[in-house]
Amino acid sequence: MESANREIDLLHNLEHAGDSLSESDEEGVLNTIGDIPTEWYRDFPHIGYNLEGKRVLKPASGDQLDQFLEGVEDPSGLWKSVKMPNLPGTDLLLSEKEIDMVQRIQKADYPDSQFDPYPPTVEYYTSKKFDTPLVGADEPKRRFVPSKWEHQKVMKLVYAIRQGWIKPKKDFEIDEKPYFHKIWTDIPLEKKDNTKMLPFVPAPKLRLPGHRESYRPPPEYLPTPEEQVKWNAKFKSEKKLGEFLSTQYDSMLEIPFYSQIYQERFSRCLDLYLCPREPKLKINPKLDPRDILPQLPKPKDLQPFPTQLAFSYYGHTGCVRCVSAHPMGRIIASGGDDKTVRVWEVSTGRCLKLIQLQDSVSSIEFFPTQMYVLLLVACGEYVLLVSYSVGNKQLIDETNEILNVSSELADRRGPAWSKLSITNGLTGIEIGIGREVRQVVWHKRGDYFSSVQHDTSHKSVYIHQLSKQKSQTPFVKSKGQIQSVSFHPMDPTFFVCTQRNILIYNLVAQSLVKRLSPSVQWLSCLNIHRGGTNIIAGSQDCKVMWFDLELSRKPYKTLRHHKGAVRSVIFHPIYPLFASCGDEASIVVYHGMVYSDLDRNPLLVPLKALRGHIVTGDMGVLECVFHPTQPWLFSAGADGMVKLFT
Amino acid sequence: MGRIIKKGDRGIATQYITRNQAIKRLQVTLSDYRKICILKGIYPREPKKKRHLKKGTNKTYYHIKDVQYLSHEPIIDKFREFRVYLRRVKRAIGRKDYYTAHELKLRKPTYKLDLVIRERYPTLQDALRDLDDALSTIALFSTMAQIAGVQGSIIHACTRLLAEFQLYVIETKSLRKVFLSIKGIYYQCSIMGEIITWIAPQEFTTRRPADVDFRLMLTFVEFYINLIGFVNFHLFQKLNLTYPPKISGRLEAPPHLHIHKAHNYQFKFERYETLDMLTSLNHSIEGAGTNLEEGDDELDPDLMSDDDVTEEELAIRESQKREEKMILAQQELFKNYFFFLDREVSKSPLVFCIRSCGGSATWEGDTRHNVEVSDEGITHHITDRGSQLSHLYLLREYIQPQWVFDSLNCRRCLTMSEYRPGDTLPPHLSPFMQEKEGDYIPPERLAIIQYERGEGGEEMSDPDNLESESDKDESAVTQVESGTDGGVKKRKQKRKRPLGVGQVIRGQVENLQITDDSLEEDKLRAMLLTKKKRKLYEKLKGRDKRHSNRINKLRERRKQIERKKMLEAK
Repeated sequence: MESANREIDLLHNLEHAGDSLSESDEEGVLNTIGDIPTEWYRDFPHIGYNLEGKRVLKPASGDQLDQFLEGVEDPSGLWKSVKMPNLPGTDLLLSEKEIDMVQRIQKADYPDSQFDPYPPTVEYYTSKKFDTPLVGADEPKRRFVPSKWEHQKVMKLVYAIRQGWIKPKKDFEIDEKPYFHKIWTDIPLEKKDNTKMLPFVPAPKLRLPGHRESYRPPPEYLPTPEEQVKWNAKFKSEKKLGEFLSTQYDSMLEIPFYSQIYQERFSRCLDLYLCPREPKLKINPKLDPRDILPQLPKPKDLQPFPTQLAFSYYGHTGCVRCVSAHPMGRIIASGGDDKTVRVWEVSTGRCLKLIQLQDSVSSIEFFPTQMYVLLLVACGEYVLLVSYSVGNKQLIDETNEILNVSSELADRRGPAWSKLSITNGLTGIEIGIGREVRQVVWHKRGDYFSSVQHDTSHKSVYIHQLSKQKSQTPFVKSKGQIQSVSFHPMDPTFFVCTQRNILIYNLVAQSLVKRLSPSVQWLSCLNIHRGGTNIIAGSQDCKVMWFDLELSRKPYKTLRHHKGAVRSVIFHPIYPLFASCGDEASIVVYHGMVYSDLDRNPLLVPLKALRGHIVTGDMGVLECVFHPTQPWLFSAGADGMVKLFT
Repeated sequence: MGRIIKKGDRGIATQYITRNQAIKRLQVTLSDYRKICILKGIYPREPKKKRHLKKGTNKTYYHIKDVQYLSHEPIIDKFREFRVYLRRVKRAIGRKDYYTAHELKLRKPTYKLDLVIRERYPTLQDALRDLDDALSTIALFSTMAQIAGVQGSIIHACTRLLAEFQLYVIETKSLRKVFLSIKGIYYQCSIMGEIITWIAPQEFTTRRPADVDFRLMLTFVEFYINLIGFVNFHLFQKLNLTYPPKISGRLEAPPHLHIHKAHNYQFKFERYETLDMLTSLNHSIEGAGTNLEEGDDELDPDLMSDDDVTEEELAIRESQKREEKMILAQQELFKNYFFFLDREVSKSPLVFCIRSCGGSATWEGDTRHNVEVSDEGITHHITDRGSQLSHLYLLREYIQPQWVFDSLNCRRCLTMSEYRPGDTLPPHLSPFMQEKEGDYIPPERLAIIQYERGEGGEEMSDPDNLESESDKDESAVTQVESGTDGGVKKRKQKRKRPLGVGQVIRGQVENLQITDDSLEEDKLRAMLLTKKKRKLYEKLKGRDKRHSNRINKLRERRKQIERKKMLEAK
């Protein structure tokens, strides 16, 4: 009861906290906060406002020293006072009983010292048998009969044991027989018939380590500082598994753990079960690459052929499109984009004659015999027959004579033959074609010549006759873009090289004899062997093809020595040589022997790649021509030079 | 009209099936399929024309016959049983029927691999031939710490089996080569004429690498444990020893190995005690040593007496005899030597090598010899660091460990002057290199080869191979000359009068030019080849070029190093 009273006192105190404050009115402080919770002022230095609106400050709460001093003054109150949370500044002194309660709670004991946790039990249900039972029924039968369900379960087990499903423990305990035993006999087992089985390919063994992998490799195997830096700059993903950098350690003690060893073994395991195995044919390590090369005679034994640059003929200011050698071989003529034709002396390199024309020169050829000093020139849309007036006076006169245009023939159909329009001391004939002329070529005897125009109609080829001063088109129908034409050296046969095919016509019978179809994209040039049965052709797609007309319509050999478009191919008139030149500024000289007996195929041996020209504007060597009697080669380059290789 | 042929009815399409198809056909899971493939040694096959299969070119194909062969394998049934078993145990545990679960666990399905091994390797010889990977894997696992997913019992089994095998090698003295590489230590031994090479990692414990699938590795380990177990059994039987041998150096088995004694691991390796590898290597097998079989290498005397043998055969026999002599020397290399291993030296490789060559070794705390450091019987003291020696004993040699390995590889005791503690060691060369003509041979290796030839009692019958190597160093001109006939003559003349230092041979400029020409000539001729042959030609050219580049680089570097050394010496 005492405690209850005490509690009521406490509550009373709390409720009248405000009153107690108001009691201090008498001292002159009046708090006017009204009926609001005091904890609102908890965090403020004041506890309200007086009548004048001034703050009423909190009474000073004693610091620890004060507390201590208080304790010294009144030792009974020390540690027994509690701060009232809602009444700042006031302490409440705890009674003995309250302190006891607090201490009990601290010990996790019952707060009330009077509480008895173990009261004596009151038995509601007892083990004592009543004299009169509550239920008077008889004992049921099932209390006396063995359980059916238990029987069923036992029977199940019995059945399982009988069936061998459950084994007595002894049987499946560790069998004491040793696990490893003899499986191989000294006499190998009889081999099974493995014909039905696939052949087993044993896994290849790992490669054995070399000196590089040593912990102290010879010094030459150690990486240089640059290699070290390169290695360190690599990402982890860039390094292959098993790749490592040689390192030198001073002693065995210093070798670290190789961090990739698990990964390497793992990848080996993966290889063993996931990698398809098949016996692979390896290249014989002793095989010399030279053994694969075709067995051909040595170039040394096939001399003479042009081997080195002997002369350069300077003079042209633009690219030199064409070059031609005089049948005697003393002079050559060249023409090019600078609209000039120049006649050079071979032995000195002197320019004997310079003929200024009105348009660039695309093709040039000397009169095939030495009867006239006559040049056949393709210049723009005209074919010119020009006397170059070098040499014998009589020859020059004779030449001038045949270059007179007879007026009777002036008003004919077809290309008009007329006197040369530019008359700076030149005599000649110009034939107006009307289309840009691509190529001009003489017949071997010199009466006929042919010209090829940039035209897709049937008028892309003309055959001109010098003696009658007459031009005619051999075709009635268009043959497509004609690249080049050539006369047979002996027979009345005419070779026409279109974009895809080479057509051979008999001029007398006026019929197509043969159609050669090399599988190339764009033919560019052709040349006929002096025997007339072998042809070489060049193509824009870097190939040079040799056709044996008696053998097949397909090329006998295709040579791929050029890296650029083939511009010109040429046979030597006497020697068994031929050459091709291309846009990568190289000239390849071949030995091309044609045997007279039909059993033997022509022998082709690449002899020499001649270099000397410079690639200018994607063009290299535009034409090459052999010297008529010597194994020399003239070449016209896009770099404005004519060169002689001997 | 003929019958329409359905896709995949004929030809190559019926021969090969993808992995998924194989799995469906065998009715197993992917992991079981992988396991059976590993155990049975079945590998995918590459169809000759993959695109004809029309199933995709980047797939793994198995041959139908291989899959049929797998389908007859009783182990597959065991796998299925095991799956059922797992399901039952799981269900029992889910129902809290622990009794049934326990009963089931006692009846865990197991399988044996003895028949599989005999099928894959019909003879012991075949098994020995395929032991490289097995030993390497086992050696890796034996050094491994017990990590999640790899049971301790497996690691101990690996340790045990490797120790047994190494003991066999020690007993038969068949260790031939050792190589300390930065990847580990390579050992090569020859057993019954089969060369077996394996790599053991350095003895460090590491963490489990994240990018390695240990389940797959463990399948391999399972197979290799069986394989090496059976091989060891037969090898020991050949030595007239019982298997498993009584091996010293048992450690107390850690208690966790006894927990699931009956059903832990099918091979019951938990009954093996954990081994201290080092101690077991240093003890002989009980009962061994007396009944060593004679080596099979000896030639049949009947063969030897044949009169009509060609000179070539004679030469082969001669070299065989010499080789035998060398091997005998190697086996007795450290006979009567007693090595003391210092504290920090890595002991087990050394003990393995020393004992394989007839020596014996001891160290502080060794249980076999039980001798002090100061014992007078010790002939060699192996130490890594010279500065740590507190007391030098007069009657013994102090050497670094590399001496043992180099001597073993050279098959003779090398001079110890270069191997003293604290000295800079000579390079450690790979004993596996078999130099061909034209290869780069470091001078150290050259010296070894020359010594071997000299000691063989044979006069330098074909010194050209070796000397041409050193000749090449002299000048490029001579190298070029050797190609032509004239060059050979010149070289022969030159050999009569050895070159002095700084002497220069006059080369022929013409020759050089001709080679230039011939190079271009080759280039032109190569263009005449068919595409296939031209590619081969280019490949060969590239190969030769790379080879010569590599050699030249090494040679150049060596020259520079030598020059530097010379300058420093001056």
